[in-house]
Amino acid sequence: MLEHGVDIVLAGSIAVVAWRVLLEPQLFRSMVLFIAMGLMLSLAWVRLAAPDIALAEAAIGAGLTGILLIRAAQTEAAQEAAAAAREAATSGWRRWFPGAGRIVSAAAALAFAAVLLVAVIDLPGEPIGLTEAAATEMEASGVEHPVTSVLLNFRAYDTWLEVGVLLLAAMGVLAIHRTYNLRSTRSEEHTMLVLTWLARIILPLAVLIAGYLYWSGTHQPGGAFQAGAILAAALVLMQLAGFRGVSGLSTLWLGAGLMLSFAAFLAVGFIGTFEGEFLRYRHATGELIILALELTIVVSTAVTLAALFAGAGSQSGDDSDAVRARTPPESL
Amino acid sequence: MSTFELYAALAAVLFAVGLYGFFVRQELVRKVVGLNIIGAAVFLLLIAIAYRNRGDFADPVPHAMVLTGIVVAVSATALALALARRIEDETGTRRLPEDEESS
Amino acid sequence: MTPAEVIAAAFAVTGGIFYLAGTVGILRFPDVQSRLHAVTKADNLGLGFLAVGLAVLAGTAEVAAKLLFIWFLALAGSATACQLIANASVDDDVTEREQADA
Repeated sequence: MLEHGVDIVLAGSIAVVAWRVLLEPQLFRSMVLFIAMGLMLSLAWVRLAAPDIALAEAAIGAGLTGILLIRAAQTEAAQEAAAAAREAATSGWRRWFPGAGRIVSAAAALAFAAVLLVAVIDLPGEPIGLTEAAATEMEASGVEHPVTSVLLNFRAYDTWLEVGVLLLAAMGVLAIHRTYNLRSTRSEEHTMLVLTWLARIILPLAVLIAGYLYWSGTHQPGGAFQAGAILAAALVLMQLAGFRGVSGLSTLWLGAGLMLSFAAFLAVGFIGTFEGEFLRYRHATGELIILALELTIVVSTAVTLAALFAGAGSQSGDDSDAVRARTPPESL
Repeated sequence: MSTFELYAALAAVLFAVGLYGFFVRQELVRKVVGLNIIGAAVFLLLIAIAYRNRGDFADPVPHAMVLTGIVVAVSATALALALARRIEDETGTRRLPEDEESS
Repeated sequence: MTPAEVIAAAFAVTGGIFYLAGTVGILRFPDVQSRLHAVTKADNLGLGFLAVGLAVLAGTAEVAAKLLFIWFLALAGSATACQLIANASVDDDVTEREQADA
């Protein structure tokens, strides 16, 4: 019972915090609560025997999503107050209208939850997963950690396309903001000394930890995406601290970093076609290929996530000037 | 109640909370947060099922899917926030035009 | 219980008490700076005791070293975050006072 007690307290807290994330009227607080929810979720992943997911959730789900959201909350804080005031000023019958919308929305959400619960209860009693298949095939994959063998061998196709999604998202964000480097205009104006200090300490340690996670992914929890996320965090920290080496990265190198992994998967897949099948490598070279592909994933994930953040932070500088310049004068 | 059932129920609750927030909240940033909560609920359900189907280790296929899912979710979030930001720059509002009319 | 487990449990409980104190502080103290004061000091010590307790339990020196390394990273992170939040809160106080004067 005590063993379940931990799970019950954890699940209850996650549900309450999720609810608070939605209810909280102040956007910034809501985002901080969202980060807290992510950290609690990573504890839930540990409880569910998914340490790989826990690492990814803490670094990406809570960390990087969190700073993206906080950036969005900060730059829009002023407008939020105005929006709240407008909401409070809506007239009588209109106040009733969103009420009806809310009831319908709540009913729809509860119906979805009920359907999900029924589906879960309806699951066949026998476990029907691919655990055994993965266990028997793992020796042929070239690595000794089941999740890595699925990610980079059995389902390498999915991972390749996922790397493609990352590339597309980075292209989209950079195009929307019309920035093509990792410069963070907002923060370079007032860099804190203590942040510079932390960045100096963290960078070598982040490289060390990323290398460790990358290497241990072949035989224990860890792997390329988590390693890339750690490096991305270090890059973001250096952007915030205004390090020239990161912000001065040229468009060419940025593009190369973004595309590296996608291109590597494509090349490996193409070479594979000569031996039979696209992205198939089940022989002695498996481990080498996996390690090489993982290395490209580390680099590309780190650069892409840092670019997503740099794009999000670049509005208040030269970019908004560009927007203003394009706006026709009569609309001003 | 087994661990699987507990976390599956939590996933259903989180799904409902996220969906409700996605419907009701009109600010685009909050809608993105709602979508992220829905995403977390889906991940939780997948991992709970992987835990249910465990042998020597939990089912690695859902694990790999969720791992890629988390990375895809952050990139989609960044893209959505960038679009929301652009809408704000162009129109001066943080909501969709149709929501703006109804409020 | 083996002696190692007793020592580890003692350290973990001590750490838990510090965490409890820090949490009470964050809930009860009136302003940002004093809350920071409570939460960074108490939680850093709490995590330290917890890390030492787990290191005793870990058995190998390698795992123990990793745990202490994690503690060091958390110390660096929380010290920096504390300073940044404190700075921001001082800035807020100044603007509020200026607004009150105006």
